[in-house]
Amino acid sequence: MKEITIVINGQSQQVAKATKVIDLLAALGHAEQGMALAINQNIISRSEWPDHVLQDGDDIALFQAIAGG
Amino acid sequence: MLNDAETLRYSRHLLLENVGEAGQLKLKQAKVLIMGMGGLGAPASMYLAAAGVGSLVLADFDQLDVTNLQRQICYDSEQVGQAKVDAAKSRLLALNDHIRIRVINKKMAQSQLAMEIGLADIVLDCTDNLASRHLISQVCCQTKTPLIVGAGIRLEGQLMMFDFSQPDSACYHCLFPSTEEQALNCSNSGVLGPVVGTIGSLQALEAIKYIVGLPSGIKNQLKLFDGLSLNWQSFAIKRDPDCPVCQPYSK
Repeated sequence: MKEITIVINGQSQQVAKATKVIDLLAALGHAEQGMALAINQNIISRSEWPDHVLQDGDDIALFQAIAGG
Repeated sequence: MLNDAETLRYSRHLLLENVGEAGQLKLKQAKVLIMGMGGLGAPASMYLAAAGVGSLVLADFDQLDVTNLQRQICYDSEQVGQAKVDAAKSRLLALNDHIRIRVINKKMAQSQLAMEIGLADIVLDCTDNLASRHLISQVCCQTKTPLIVGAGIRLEGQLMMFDFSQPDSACYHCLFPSTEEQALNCSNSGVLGPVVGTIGSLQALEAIKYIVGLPSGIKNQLKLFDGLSLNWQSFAIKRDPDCPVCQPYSK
C-alpha cells in the first residue's frame, strides 16, 4: 500500500504513505501563516508539523485563527 | 451576606444548587476584566453585570460608531460618538447598580496591561486583532490569570479557555503561533450579530462557572462554532513544549 486515505475538512483524499503534516500543507498550497491543524480532534502544535506522520483514516481539520470580535 | 435586595434580584441563582448563596457571594467578590467592548464584550458584559459580578473593568479605546449597533447590543443609537466604555458603563449600571464598574479608555502599554490583568480574577479576551490576542494571552500566562478567549467573523465563532492558574495550561500561542494579522476582520468581511452574541454569551457563562467553582467544559480546548449548520467542533489543545511564550513559565 503506497497510499493512505485521510479526510481533510470533511473531504476524503488519498496521500502517499509516510506523508508528514508539513508536506500535506505544502501540497494543498496552504500558507502556513495563521493556520491551525487538528488530527482526530487533537491540535498538532506547529513545532510538530515537520515530524508528524499522517496515518490511514486520519480526520484532519484545518482552520485559521479568527481575530474579529 | 447578601442584603434583601440582592437576595430578591439573584433569586434565580440562589435556586441553583451549583450557585446558591455561596456562589452569589463569590460573584459579588469577583473582579472580571473585559478586553474589548465590541460584539463579544457587549453581551458578555451585560450577562456578567446582570449576574452580579461585583467588579467589572471594561477596556476599549474606540468611540461608538453607527456600524457597531448591528451587533453590539449594549449600546443605543443616541450614544454614537461616545466612548464605548462610558456608554457601556451607563448601560450596565442601569441594569444593575449593585456592582462597580471601572473603565479604561485607552490603549494600554504592556506594563499597565500586566497590572490590570494581575488585579483581575479572570480575563475575557473580546478584542478584534491578533496582536492584542497574543499580548493578552502572554500577560495572563505570566500573571497566572485564567483567560477566556472568544472570536467571531462572518458566521463562524471560536471559543477557548486557558486556565493559567494550572501548570498544564496551553496558551494562545501554542494554538496560533503566527502573529501576522489576518486579512479578514469584521469591518471588511462582515459578521452576523448573533454569532458574536453566542460566543460572547458563552464567555460570560464560562466566567461565571469559573468564579463559582464549577469545572469548565472548554479548558485547553478550542470550540469552533458554525453559525450556518449550528454545529460545534471540539479540539484538544496541548501545551507546545517548544512554545516560546508559555514554556518559560511552565515550571
